Amino acid sequence: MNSSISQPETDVAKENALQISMPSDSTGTIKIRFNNQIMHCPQNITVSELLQRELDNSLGVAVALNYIVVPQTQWTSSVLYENDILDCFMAIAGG
Amino acid sequence: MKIADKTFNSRLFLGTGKYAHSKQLVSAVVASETELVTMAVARVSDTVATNTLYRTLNDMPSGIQIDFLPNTSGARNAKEAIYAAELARQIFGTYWVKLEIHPERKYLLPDPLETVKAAEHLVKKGFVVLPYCSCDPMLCRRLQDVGCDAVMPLASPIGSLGGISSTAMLQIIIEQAQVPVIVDAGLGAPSHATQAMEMGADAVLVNTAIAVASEPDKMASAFKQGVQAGRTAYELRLTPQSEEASATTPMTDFLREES
Repeated sequence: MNSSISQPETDVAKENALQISMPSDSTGTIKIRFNNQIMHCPQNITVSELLQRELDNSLGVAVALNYIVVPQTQWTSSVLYENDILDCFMAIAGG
Repeated sequence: MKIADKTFNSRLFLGTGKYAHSKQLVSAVVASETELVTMAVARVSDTVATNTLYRTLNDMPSGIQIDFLPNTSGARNAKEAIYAAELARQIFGTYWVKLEIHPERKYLLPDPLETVKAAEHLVKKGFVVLPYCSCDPMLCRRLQDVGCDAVMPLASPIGSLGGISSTAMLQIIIEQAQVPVIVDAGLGAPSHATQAMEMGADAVLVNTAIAVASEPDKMASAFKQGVQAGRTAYELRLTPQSEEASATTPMTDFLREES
């Protein structure tokens, strides 16, 4: 019970969630927030590529990009941009 | 028993929380002969051990077939519950959802207004919605009217093990329901499950009482037997109670002289 799955509630978070993603700077990397942690990634990285890099196994994982659920069929075509917020969820025990 | 498009042989559903080890959970699932287990959704925190439990339950011993019923626990309002349901659909590959919205943590009581709101939305999106709700006949009717495929009134607060706290209200819910009634939360003993089934509940969902038992598999078996006993008694129709005695031995007055 009580696993945290809350969506943004503050105005700032809502604005961030709705913010139009912008291309990154000349360093070739972008800054995103992955599971509440700031992370730097290569430009044009996809959701699928990021999950392969960060997770042991993505079986039974759900992903939300800027608080919108991304079906697994779209992971390979979903490119991440500067300031994107990517959250990753999984199954846990619960009643 | 049929819920939406699925037929169940077992009327005992299991929650998967609070087990000390996943082996105990698997043993309890096997012993209970359940066909539906609930699971929850959480943010990935341990990237190495991602979804160990889910994989374990997906790899049950041969002959054991279970379906997952993801819940929306942790949601405090309709918006969060809808978000959780959509995440769960991706994780579990099912449109089934146990809709659970409890904004406060002391009693974990479900929010009736937000539950109806979320149920209506999820039904329209094609989800099979099983809402955890208060033991309130009118609320259960509303949930049924918006298209829920079952209702899950609480026996008593989650994890309290208090048994059925409002038999009169539960009886009305069962009498009025046109969808299966699954008594959820607070069943602390097999006799509580038996009572619910004798009253005419279609199924029960049990978690804590089995998970924290000294031997969860044996307790799961006890609940299974309790559910079966209660269902059989319901189907046979219990003889109505009486305020007065009714002799079970013929009163022949054989010890007295005939007058």
